[in-house]
Amino acid sequence: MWEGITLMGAVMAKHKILVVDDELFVRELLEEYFSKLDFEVLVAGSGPAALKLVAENRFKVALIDLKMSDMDGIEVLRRIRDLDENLIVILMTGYPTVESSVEAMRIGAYDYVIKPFRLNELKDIISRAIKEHHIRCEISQIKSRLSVLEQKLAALTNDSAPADSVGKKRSAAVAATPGGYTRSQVVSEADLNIESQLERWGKLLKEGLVTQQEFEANKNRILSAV
Amino acid sequence: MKRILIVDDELLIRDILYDCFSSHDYQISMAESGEKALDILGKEKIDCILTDLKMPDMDGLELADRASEIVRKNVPVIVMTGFPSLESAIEALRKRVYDYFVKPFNINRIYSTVEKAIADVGGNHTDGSSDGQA
Repeated sequence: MWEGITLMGAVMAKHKILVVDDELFVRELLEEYFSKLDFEVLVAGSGPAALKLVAENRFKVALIDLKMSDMDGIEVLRRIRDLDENLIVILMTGYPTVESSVEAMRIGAYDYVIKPFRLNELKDIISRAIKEHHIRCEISQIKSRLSVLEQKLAALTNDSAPADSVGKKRSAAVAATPGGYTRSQVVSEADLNIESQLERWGKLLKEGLVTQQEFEANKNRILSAV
Repeated sequence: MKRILIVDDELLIRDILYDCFSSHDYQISMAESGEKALDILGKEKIDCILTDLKMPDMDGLELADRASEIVRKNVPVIVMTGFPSLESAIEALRKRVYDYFVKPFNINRIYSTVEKAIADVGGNHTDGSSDGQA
């Protein structure tokens, strides 16, 4: 199923991953293995080099060694969060400890892999990580869309009619059918998308056809369905 | 008001945590076993679960798994243990547990972590006032 999504959504683009390790052997091994699996692999031998690549590229997953001489994997991950909040980071280490695995958890590592590892197990972890990346990107898009909608709603509600005139206006409008709004028109919204639903309720509020309370209740219902 | 679920088979730990969170205006539910915790989760709206890792009937990570099947939205889980191990810490990370505390712990750190967890993870579900409206 995932392959299908990839083919449709990314026009067969390769999954781009980053390998960060100060050991040349590990970089070469992982670069060769994942390139053969049709990933696009970039490698870095240090934390600063990795951060430069993250700033310049859109990776889905980064495999980062925990213990490196100039900057450890935890610090690299911490700084990556400022550059790309959706990038999935998997930490690798030959010196695992409870403390470093808990620290990895706290700063949002996706996984913590102990060296030496089996390449096919790492491949499975990366496959799951790519799915997770896809989900994170979708959530980010929904959040930014919601933020825009909230701003639009705030603009619409700022100049809404005073509450005491709402009843009169609504009665007048319903009485004016078929030209005016009817109750069934107000609630029949099943096939409208969220944006148009919210805009519609905002418009009704602005025109005094629903109360502020009705507007808030419906706004919460629509947003909670996202 | 935020509600926390405290799960530990040791009465002393439950008491210490109860005193801490009640003094910070939390509503508190308590369970001495995983099964009892699941029962509470089915009935009450919980904002954060603070659970012991090692309990006789089920461990805290299994509770985290089963809790996610019961509650509709994401509830942060923080585990505490007197027997830390690399295996359980990595498993906790993989299960997206919010934090992992080793006993004896600093109670103020537990409190601030719960506050942060609710703000981070529960930010989109603490507004219970809109739930169920249609």
